[in-house]
Amino acid sequence: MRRLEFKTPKMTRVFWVSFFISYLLVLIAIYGIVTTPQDIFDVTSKIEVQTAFKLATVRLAVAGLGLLVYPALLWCSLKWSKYFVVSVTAWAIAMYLDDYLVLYRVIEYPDRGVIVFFQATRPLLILSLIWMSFELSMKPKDRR
Amino acid sequence: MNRHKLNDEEMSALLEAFSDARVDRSTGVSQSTIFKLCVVLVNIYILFFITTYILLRENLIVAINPDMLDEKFLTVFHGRAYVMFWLWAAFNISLYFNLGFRLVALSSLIYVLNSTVDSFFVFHESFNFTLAPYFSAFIATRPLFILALIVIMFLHKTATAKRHAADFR
Repeated sequence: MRRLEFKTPKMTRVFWVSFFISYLLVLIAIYGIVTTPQDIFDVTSKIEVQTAFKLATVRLAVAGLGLLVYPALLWCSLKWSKYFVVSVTAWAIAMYLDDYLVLYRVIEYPDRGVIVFFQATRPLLILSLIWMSFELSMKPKDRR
Repeated sequence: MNRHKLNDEEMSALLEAFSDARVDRSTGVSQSTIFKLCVVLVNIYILFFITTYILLRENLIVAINPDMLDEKFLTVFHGRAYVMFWLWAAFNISLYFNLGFRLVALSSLIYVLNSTVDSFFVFHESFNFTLAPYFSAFIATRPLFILALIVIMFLHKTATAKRHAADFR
């Protein structure tokens, strides 16, 4: 049986900047959801905001799991981390498309500073993920 | 004086040297029957989805429960049909040219999984299966559609895989 080897991957500086941005933005989103006041589920609150909150909680729970898995994969196997990042990128784009093209009448994100900031920086998160996907896919095997 | 033009023998030798590459590009990759069945299933599902949306939007078929077709629900249906159409186009083009097909199939699979989860959390309280048979049919067959996409991703053979198999033999 092959033993697991932990090696620091040789990636470019842009990759590590993208890595840092992705982590920072997802952590900000998790913080925004966790610290949202509970009165969001009052009867006075809009149904669209409640739906968006429920959806965001589920999505961020999965994203939080991804945050834990990704470094372990990156240090163990570049092949599997490539598949992982490509899948996460596709998921992030699918969520973005869904929010702005499909669910824009059904959901409404809470009007809080942290969440507004996260919404504004979502394209940057997707861009960082795309960069990591490209770098992991295009990197020659001998330079890994 | 230097001779610049190639004679017939030299030209034949050159063509012979690249004959393998020409054969590989000209012949298609033969996919398994299960793969072909899954591709047909995916195409039928998406085609029916888009057709149902167009028929309902244009009032060409009667909606069993008109309340289901409120503005919000129709907006979501419109968005899904729109995205599905472009995924469908990308899926078939990449399959025809055998270029980046797995990536397109993976993206389609992730989009479908995400939209299923989103729809569940958005509509599970207001949706009634008996009052919306068209949508119920799509929801009931969704696992089959997802399974077909997974099978397609794993069974797809690329031209490179075929060359490796030929080299191994």
